[in-house]
Amino acid sequence: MIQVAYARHFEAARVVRLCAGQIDAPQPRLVLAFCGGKHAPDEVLAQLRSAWPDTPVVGGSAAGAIGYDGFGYSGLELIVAAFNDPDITPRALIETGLDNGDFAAGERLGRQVAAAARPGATVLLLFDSVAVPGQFQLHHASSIVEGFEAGLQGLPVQLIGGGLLTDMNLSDGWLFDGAQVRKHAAAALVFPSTVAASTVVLHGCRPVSTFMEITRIDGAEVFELDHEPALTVIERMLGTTLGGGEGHDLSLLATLGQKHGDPFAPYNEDDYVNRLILTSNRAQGSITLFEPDFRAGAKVQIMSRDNSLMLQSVRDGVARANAGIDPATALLNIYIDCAGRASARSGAHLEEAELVVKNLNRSVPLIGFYSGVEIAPFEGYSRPLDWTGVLATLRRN
Amino acid sequence: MAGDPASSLERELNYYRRECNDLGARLLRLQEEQSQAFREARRSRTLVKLLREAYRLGDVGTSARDVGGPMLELVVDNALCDRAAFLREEPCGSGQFLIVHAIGLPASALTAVVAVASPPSFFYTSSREREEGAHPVLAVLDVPFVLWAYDRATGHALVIGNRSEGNVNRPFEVGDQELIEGALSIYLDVLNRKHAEAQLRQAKQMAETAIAAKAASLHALAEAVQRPLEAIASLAVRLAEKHQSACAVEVQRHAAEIQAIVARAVEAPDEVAAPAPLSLEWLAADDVVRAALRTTYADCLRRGVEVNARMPRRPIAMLADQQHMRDAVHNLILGVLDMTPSGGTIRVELSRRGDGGMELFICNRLPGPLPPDFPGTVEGVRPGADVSALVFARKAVDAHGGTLIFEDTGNGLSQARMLLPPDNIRDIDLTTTRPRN
Repeated sequence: MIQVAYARHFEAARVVRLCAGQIDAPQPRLVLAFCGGKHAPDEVLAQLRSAWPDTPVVGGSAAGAIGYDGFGYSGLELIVAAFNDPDITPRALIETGLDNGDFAAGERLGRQVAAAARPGATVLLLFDSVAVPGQFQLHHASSIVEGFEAGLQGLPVQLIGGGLLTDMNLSDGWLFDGAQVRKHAAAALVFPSTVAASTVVLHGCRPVSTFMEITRIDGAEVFELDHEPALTVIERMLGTTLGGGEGHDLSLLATLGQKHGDPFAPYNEDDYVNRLILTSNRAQGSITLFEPDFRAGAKVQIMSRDNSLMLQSVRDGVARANAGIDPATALLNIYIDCAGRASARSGAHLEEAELVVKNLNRSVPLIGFYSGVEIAPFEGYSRPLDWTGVLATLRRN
Repeated sequence: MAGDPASSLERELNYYRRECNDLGARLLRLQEEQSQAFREARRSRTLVKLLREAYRLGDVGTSARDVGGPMLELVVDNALCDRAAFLREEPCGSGQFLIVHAIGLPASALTAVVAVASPPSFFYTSSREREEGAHPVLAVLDVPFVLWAYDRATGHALVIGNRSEGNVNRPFEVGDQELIEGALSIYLDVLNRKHAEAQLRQAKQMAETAIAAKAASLHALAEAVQRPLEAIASLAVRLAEKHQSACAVEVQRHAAEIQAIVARAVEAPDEVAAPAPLSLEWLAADDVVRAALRTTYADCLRRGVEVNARMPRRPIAMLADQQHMRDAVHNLILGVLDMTPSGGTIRVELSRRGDGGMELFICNRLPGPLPPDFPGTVEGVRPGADVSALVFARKAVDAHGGTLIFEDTGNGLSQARMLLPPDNIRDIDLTTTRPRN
């Protein structure tokens, strides 16, 4: 049995007390916790450890939290899931050192998982998204996941996950590793083979350009599209300058999408992997994407964030998730929601998280958080996604 | 070549590509403009949302000291800022501010004293605009962009801050004055309300303590006078039986009434000490007077006293407790009746005063010289009158903010004048239903 509690309060002790008061278990086997970034992480963790002294606490910062009892992104929310049944409690594996290389840390974590997991195991990957606080330099999920896949050495797992942020401005991030607060760390929660997951990805972008070829790229920095400076192409499309005059501020106005499968097949949101444009560099004429996983020669399209499409995708996706839920075996819904989809950022007239909360089958508990990046199965393997909501339902096999 | 099919196809493809990109760009801009418009609309609703949630907060049982934290939480949630703090100038006018509540600040910052020379009522900082004297505030909040409001009269200030001007934030601007000053003003309102509630609670507690003390004292006094009163009462009975004196009868009657009051004071001193609460409503004044006249009619008839009543031509309404006011008028009529021998007349006159208030005038007219044993007058109220009833009437009128004047004209005539203030009086709109009596 998994119990979930949500609360919002400006005092760390109080918000933990409010959550702990809703959990009817004196000593859960593991607590998964996502905490708003305005709280002092050490204080929150100390309070959580005080509420459940012998229980490991895994999770970390979140730009906001989403539960049936409330959702928000003030930075003062806390949501916890308490795992009481040993048969469904995940094992938490931790790896630090993302600051010394995302791929390498991901690979080490993958090796740990390979040693602990059975084939097909469900793994929840959480990691600190921010490499340099306040500088828009991220720990790239695609590098971590590539390293993770390499470390697995062929072991198939069902990987879902999200990047941890303190707020929507990507100011910082941190992780609870069970007993401590960690920076530059990742956690893999490996579920027993008795637990499986089904996943629905909720989108919200549509293509607004023809295909363009990435003709020069270095990591996440795209220099040229169709041999023109990428920034020129994007700004021409947007009709505005990106990120203010200096171009160093967070943009997030548009995304680049790579379509998989038949490029000329009718539009299907599930065919796209989108990358938000994080910053731009006017001197170089380049744009920097959230992830460094696009390659030279890739055909991409400029994608527009479409709020009505996003809300419709949520309605459809939640209906698909509900149709797949068997209340007899379902254990927990996990919603990993891109922070940019929140109304304050997207300008949507409805909170898409509210649609999830209202329409999801309430017989299954829900723990959700606003993330920096989402990881979900895509075309047979898992990869990071931008501007999506990943709704996973854990069930007993 | 124009006639080359491949070239023609290429040209057509380029045309559709341009059109597609152009339409896509327009769609993208429209989407962004729509999002931008909604985000601005969301910001403009912030103050209203804050107002609604803050006053809801004021309704729950938070004390004045504890209201700052939840209030700041509302500010942060609605303004989506990185940091926020309420500050209080100590002492008022010194420019030295203490941080009384904060969100997003490290614990070490909470002990800082923020010195703002000549604090302005409003300022902000942005990448384009700097404010002289803002530096201490920026240093404590440890962010480059702040929005500040200060209430000179109370010495309270509210400041919110952001690390950046992009993404969910935008640069602070003059238009944000309404938000920050509104938020501070709402906080001060809720704070004042909480202070007033605390004072009311304290006053209530003091009143309850005073009533308890008064009840105890009353109880002791009542016990002390009970025995001598019984002696007076039995003496009066004997005098009345022996001499058939009207005065003795009166003394006997009043002794019995006082005995009843004393007995009640002994049994339930709390009830006697605590004033009964008023239930105020708008009543037709003439209806109240007529109701009192009906209840005294039988007594007047039995005593051979005629009653003449005159009501105003234009009906008036009074804000009063129906039961208390009717009893007060009833007691006043009976009080004058007590002073009126058989054959006399009582005049009851209700009128609107020049200042907008109301006057109820009750007086008697004697048929001739008073009988020799008719009680004399003392301090405006004849001892023959039912003193406790008149005391009740006076208290009732006082409780309504009015005045009750007993007048002795010196020629055996008695008159009572009840005045109610203009705030308690209004015209009755004859086109609508009369106030309920």
